[in-house]
Amino acid sequence: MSVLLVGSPNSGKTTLFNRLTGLSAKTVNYPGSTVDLLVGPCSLGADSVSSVSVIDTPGIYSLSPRSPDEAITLAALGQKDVEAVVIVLDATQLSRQLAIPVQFRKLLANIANTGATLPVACAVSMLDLLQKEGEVADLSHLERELGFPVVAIDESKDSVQKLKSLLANLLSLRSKSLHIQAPRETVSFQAPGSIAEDLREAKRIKDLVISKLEPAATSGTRDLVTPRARTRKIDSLALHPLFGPLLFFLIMAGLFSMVFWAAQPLMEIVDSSFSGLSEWILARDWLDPNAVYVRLLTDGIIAGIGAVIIFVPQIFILFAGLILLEDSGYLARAATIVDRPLKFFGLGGRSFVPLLSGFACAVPAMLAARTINSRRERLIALFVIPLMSCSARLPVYALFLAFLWGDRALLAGFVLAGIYVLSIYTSLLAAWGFHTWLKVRDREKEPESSFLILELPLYRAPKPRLALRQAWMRTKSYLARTGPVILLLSVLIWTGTTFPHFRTQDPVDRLENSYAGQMGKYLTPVFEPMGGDWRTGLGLISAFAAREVFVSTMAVLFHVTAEDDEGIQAGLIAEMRGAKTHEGGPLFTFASVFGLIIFFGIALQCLSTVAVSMKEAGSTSFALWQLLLFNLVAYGASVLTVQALRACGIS
Amino acid sequence: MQASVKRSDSVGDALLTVKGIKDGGAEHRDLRGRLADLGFSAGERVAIVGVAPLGEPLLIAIRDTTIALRLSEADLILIETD
Repeated sequence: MSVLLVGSPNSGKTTLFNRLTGLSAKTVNYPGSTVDLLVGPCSLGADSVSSVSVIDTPGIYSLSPRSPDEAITLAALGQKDVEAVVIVLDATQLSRQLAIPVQFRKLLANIANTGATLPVACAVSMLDLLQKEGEVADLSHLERELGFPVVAIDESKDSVQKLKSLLANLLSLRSKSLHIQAPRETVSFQAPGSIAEDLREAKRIKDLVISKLEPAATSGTRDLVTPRARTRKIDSLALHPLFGPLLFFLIMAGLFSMVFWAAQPLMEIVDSSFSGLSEWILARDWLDPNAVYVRLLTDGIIAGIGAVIIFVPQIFILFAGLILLEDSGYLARAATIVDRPLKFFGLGGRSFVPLLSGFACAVPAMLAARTINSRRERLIALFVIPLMSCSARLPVYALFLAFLWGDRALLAGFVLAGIYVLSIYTSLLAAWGFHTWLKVRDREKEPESSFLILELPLYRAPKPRLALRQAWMRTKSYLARTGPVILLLSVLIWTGTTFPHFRTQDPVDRLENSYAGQMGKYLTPVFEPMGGDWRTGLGLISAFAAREVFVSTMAVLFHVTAEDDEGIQAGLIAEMRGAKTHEGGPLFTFASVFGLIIFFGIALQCLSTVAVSMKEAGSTSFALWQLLLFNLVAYGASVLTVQALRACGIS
Repeated sequence: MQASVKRSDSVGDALLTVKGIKDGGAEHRDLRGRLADLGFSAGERVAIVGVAPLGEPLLIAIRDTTIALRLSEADLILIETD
């Protein structure tokens, strides 16, 4: 038995969801679609139907869907096990948001003759914010006007409890009713009639329900059209022609320094606890450290899980930061600022958060692209997201930059920043190219609707506890999506690099003659133009498990062992400097390492991303083309860089 | 008389009355629908309260909310002039 939460974007729906369900919520895949809905258990009370599932749905403006995620909300209404609906309303936005319950009322009246019913309750949030604006809502009047029970939701536990007992009542009445329920799937949940009419009704109800706290003192100060004074004051700075962009860069820089600097110590803890676990297992007397299953456990499974978990701190911090920015109302302003420049590339303000998330990981970034209502814009965003410099590339760049400019940290830092900026340029270039191609391909077709239309909500203080909880939910969903693929690949790559000479004592020998090593050698002619040999090739192949695996493969190939990471890097760099090609020249030169940086910047080596891309684009060929194209272009660009540098006399 | 919402229109608190939404062809069906969802329809009072730093989108106040609209989107909204 499920209860569906519906409402406008920014209505406080997700906050209410979190308060109803707590931390045990999980994402489910809605049948027949690729969209995840958040579902959580909720106990309504000791008696009656005590436990139900609460489902959070994507925000809607009316019962007519205009983007794919809105269509999901409408489709969810027809689900068999949905037994009640809670419409969440923002008290400060009633003149528009009341259109949703008004439409529901009409709709239920229309389907009443089929015998299908659906109990509806309204939950009104943000009443405190309304009060700050000097206004008050009469909810019992609202209840009479709508004909649905109305509950006020505030900070108190009591208010949520009231909603729960109301739901328990509605559901028990429903189960007691002797009506034979007609299957609701046959009923259309599309809005009947004209939205303009529903909005007029919404306005009428709102004018009846909302009144000023002190009519004399505040009358005439607000015309009930323009937003509240405080929000306008902040906007005059946040959207100022000069300070607006400045503030934007400061906030984004702040967010990213949090993602990279604050996550660093946590990532080190994750790293050392996983390697510590492996060492602990290998040190057990009752285990043979050279047995296949022990090695599979430590080098395949534990290393694979570690490769996923290591990015949890960064992704969690990024999510938390984005949610805080979103809840405060700033994110919509940031999207407004970047819409104009992004429009040129076939993207827009709505692509901003997905692209930004791509700096942490392409997987959550692609999921964030669902809010883009234009299919073409969404495809373009999905196409370029893997080009954003994700955090799995960072350990690889760190190795290369330390190799090139290890003694000049400042220069290395600037180059790293340059790599990030370059990744923005390549993404935008790719977006422009793909956009142009789509335009040429679809020139015969009817042009597709693409629009921005962003709502700029009132500024409000975000609630950190709820934001952290929500960030954790999204992180869990990231883990569920990437975990299995990376783990499987990690085991596969381990198998490929360990067999068939598992018994060989010398690790270098074992790796060199392994299946993957043989493949690397076979492919040597491919890697030579890049300035590499079979060892570089083997590293690149192993990076398909996860990009950062390149570093550990290099460490094995050049048999570097060290207690801590820094030791590995220092040892590895010394070995890399000494490495010779079969002709006797140095293997890692400025040109070849620079070529590798270019390769990693473009290549799509993350198969979890490919899997998610396939699902989100709804097209296998899209994702496979992406995989092929990015890797070919990466290879081409890398070869070109190396050869051009060599032609200029830089080996 | 009527005209579309443009960047050159007076930015500020001055209230404008919506006359309707232009047809704009089949590709604008969803756009027209969304504009209607937000309240843009004949008789509605709106105000152009600002412009984003790069001259686009326009910030239009309607029903207690600010909406960011691209120039091409605002162009579909017809307002009454005297």
